Amino acid sequence: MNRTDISAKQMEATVVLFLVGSSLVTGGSTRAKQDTWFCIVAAMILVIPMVWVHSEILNLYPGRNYFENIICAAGRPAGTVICVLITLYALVLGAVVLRNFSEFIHLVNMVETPIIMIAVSVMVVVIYTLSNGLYVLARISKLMLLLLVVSVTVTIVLAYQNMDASHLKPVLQSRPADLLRGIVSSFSTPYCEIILCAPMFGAMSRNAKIFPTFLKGVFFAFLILLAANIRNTLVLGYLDTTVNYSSYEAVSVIQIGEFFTRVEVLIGITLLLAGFVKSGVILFSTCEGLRKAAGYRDYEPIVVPVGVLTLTAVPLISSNVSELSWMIEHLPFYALPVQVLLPVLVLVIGKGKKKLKQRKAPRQGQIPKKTKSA
Amino acid sequence: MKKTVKISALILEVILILFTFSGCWNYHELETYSIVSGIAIDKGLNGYKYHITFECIKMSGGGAGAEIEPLLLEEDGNTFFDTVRSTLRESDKKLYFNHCKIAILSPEIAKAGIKSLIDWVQRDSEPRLTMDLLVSREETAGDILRVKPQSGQILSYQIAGTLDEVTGYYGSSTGVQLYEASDILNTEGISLVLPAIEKKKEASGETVQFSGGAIFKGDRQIGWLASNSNKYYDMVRDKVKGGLLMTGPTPGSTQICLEIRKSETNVTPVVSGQTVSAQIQVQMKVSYAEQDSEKDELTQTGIDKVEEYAEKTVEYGIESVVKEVQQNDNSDIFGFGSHIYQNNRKEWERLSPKWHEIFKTMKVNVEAEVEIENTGLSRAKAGD
Amino acid sequence: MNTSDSFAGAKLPSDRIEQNIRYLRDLFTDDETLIFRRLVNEKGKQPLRFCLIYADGMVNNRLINQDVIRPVLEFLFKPDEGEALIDTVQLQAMFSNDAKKTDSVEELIQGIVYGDTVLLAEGCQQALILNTKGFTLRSIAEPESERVICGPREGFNESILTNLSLLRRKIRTQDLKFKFLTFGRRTKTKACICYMDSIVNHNVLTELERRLEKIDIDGMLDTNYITENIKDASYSAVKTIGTTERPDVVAAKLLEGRVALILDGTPVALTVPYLFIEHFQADEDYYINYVFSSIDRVLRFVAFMLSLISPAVYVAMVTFHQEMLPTPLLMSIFTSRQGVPFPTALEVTMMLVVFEMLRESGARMPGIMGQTLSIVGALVIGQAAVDAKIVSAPVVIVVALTGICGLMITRLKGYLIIHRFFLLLCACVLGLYGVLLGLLVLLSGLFGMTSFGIPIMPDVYTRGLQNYKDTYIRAPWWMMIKRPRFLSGNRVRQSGGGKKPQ
Repeated sequence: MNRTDISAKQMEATVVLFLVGSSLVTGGSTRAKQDTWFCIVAAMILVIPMVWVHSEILNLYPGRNYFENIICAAGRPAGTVICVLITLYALVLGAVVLRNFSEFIHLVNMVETPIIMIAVSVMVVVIYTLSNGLYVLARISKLMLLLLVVSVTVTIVLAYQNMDASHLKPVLQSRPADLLRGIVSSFSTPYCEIILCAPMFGAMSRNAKIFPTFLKGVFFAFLILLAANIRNTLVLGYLDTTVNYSSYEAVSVIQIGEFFTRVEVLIGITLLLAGFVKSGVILFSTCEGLRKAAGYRDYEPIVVPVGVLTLTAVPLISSNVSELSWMIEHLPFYALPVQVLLPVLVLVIGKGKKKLKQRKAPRQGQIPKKTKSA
Repeated sequence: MKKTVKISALILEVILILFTFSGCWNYHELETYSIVSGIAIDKGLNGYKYHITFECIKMSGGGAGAEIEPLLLEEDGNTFFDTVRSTLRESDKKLYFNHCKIAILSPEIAKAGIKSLIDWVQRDSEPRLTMDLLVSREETAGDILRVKPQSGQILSYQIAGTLDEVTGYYGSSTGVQLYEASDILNTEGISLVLPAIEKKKEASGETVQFSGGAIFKGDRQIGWLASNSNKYYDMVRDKVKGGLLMTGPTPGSTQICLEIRKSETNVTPVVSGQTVSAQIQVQMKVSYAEQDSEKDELTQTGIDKVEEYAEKTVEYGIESVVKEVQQNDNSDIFGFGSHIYQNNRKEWERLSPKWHEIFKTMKVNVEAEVEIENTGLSRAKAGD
Repeated sequence: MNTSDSFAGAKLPSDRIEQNIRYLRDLFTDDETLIFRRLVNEKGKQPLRFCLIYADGMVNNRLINQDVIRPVLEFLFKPDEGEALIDTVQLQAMFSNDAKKTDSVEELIQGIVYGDTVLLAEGCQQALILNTKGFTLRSIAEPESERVICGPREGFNESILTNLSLLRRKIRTQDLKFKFLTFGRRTKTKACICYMDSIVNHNVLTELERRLEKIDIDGMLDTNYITENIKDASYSAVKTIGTTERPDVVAAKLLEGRVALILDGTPVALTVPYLFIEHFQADEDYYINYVFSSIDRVLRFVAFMLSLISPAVYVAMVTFHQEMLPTPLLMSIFTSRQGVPFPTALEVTMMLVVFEMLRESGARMPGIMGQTLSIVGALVIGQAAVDAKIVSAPVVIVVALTGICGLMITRLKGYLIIHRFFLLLCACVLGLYGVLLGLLVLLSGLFGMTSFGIPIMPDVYTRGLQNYKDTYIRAPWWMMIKRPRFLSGNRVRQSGGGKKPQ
């Protein structure tokens, strides 16, 4: 194993933390209220084909380079446009994620600290880590996943006595429209954000298969999100739908004895860790996309400028929290084409071309050139 | 190239440090705060809406000989937050609410509605959702905080601690934390009961005690629940953690005292057209704690009979409490409506507009099953 | 520049002994430790003139008298041997086990300054270098800094040959290789790379040799001179090269596939690669019951974390996140801070600095003075400062905890001091979130760092129990079937191992 390779386990952990990222703290509650768990399950099932699509794009050509494969499959001009679109989406999402958890820290613990300073501090650490190499981020994720699992488990166990099973009732009697909205919103955020995870797989060690690794990561993230969501609903009930950060509130209620209270710090910590990994992955994907679109050889020199660009977007994306939550609620409509339509399109074209070439190649007896295309 | 990245990261860091050294925004020393342990909310004087008494923790002395004393601040204001900040007119320390454990409401305020208080606590990041809400039986809530604490140095913490004990071992009042209250207020078909507190005169001075609960309808208080009734209310809500059950051959007699070990309640609403009834099943495990009569009840009446007495007592108690609430307050504090809502949403949507009337006339059917697990360290006399 | 380099290739000027003596005397002008002892053998038909040259104090006088002067004076030489005289002396007369014939001035000088004796003979342009080294050395004693209660008590001393012999005595196989190098343009210090040929990771070995070749320094007095010249991450406080004074430790590391470097003149040997986990492995771990050593390991990890973060977390909790302290704890901290004029952050920083000063002054003090110092320190800083309300009691507790825990892992001393303050700074800016971000910075530093191409912290946890057997705990010896990952291509340590002895 090369020292800069990322092992399958590390990659899985990174995918988990990426997906769990900001959704863990907001609790992923949707319009479906107590039926949100159903939306999470449904979205998980829906996302499996998407995982397959991304893995196939990565496997389209040797080298496992996501953006390069897109350009190869869709042709130079169209592929570049697709890359730019994905990069733009990554940039916006990066800013939203950073904004989201800077906002959280600002509101919950650091009322007097400006949001941008929190974002800057996090960004500096993200840039430093990425400049050490993507594999460093992956190794950190693997360690952080342990902390995450421990903290979620501990909070669920401790919150047991505050739980009320009747909060899940009535089961699945929400209006279908609400359920659908819920499914779409959890499908889009976080599940379909995996498009930004895909470029990372280029750095994974060659003897690990992409699809199983990817799917395992997504599934594990699903388990954590589901557990967290059910915990929040059971503890908070109605409150779950009105508070901004339901995981934080749910955990703050835990009270065991005089001394074992106030464990919501655990949530703050896990949020920061997951958000850190998420920002790192998004920043990496943004840089990769930009690199491919602009034709740079290496992504490392553009980490700092892209990071600063994301930072400038943080205060610009919304002027206040309600606008931010409005944006997060409506982001799916803008994001879904990029998240679903483009990759599917690319894959169809790429597969078609490959078939065509396979049919042609034996007859003409020449090796098809990889980069030459429509 | 890697070097450039590192150097730029370094420069960014330096800038960050320069910025941050100009002010560590949230850096606050403990002594710049005045830690609030509990608040009491009354109707405001001189035209103000609220009059709030803050019980703060005050230090006197220092080092090993430091003593903790309560310090009462009182302030008027038109909103909660306005009142909180108004204290800065007379004190150099900002009030700090994170360790505030109780909020006592005066009846007047409770009658006017508690939504705004809950909103503030939920919205502000300082006060915690685990704050206990109480209603004072005295005319002003501030009076309660003026009582000298018996155990410990801070009355609010004493009250919060007592509330835990009274819920677990006596069963006369049940603590309701703010997040639970908020949940109940926003759930359909259930009303809130907050524990009530009153002053008590003793030879050595005044002290405070819990006495039953305050019944709400919506967010307004409309009546009181007696100490004894509260126990049966808890049973219907399946909130009994412990407490005593006094029973005897006739309802209301107190020859035998049983301690509740475990209690489980199932409420099944039965809907048929416009009439609703509720089936309440109580399963209780108790231990035989005391007999206060001339004859040896255990030996002479037999354990089965005592269980029967207890079942009768529970059934009678619950039925009379439900009736009392139906007649006096007409507020669904038992959550019969929410049971319908949770099991059959459509049915509830049909019934809910008229729930007010349906609840008033609904019938309850109580079935209790009491099992005596042990008789303590004594046993029935042999040979009788 | 008159370094000895300029003698490369120079030869003794003539076969006349007087001329050679004058030549050498000129080279060592103003060096009065040099002794020229002339001898004349008159046993044969004609008198034969010899001259011994050696540095006073560097040689074993008895050896020279008995085994050099006596045979030279008493041997019956054949007449007119001419150039062959020196061969006769070397092969027949001399009682020395190490006699080398040469005419290179460079070698002669090196021999003389390193305690050898040079023997010149009339009529010969060649000279003999006789091993008569006899300088006094420290005896093989237990190293002060790495004491064990149970286990071997040998330690390296300042002589490279003694050290190699100690090592050789532990690993008796031809597989153990010694490669000699010389460092220092002026000091000409000898060094030796040791490794087990069939176990070592050859990438590490070549990388080490490549880096060693690049060193160009005039003097080499301790292995740290080498360390700083070849270390990965040269600015970082993390050690990526191990140091030890114990032959058993070096032997154990060689057996795990590491490379050792021993330098003449210092008892400190280097081992590469050095993984982060090695900071927590003490030699005694392997000599005592595995249960105790596992407990010690865990304690060391806990101590490391406590020592690193406790001041920062304290400051963050007390000044940023008062809501996270349980009420009774908050009250007791509140009480003790009553009347203390300094901000908490300053208080903690001040106390940490004072503690480091105390530690440093204690380390350089002789025994009795050191004790006095610690009493005075404890009294002044612990009791008086709290009583005078200069610092609050919890701060003293936190700093004491930090200090004690830091002393448990002395090998990470430098790392701890620097990063403790770094985290403290982070805590002052962003509270607990700052501490966390700071820790992430440290982590990514550690995760990205390598020692001679081997990642020093490849992973914190992995699948497969074999990977844990010498990390957070120490498994019993019979369970350790494999050598650590990355270190060696030849991973199986004991074939047929892994079974319980009975």
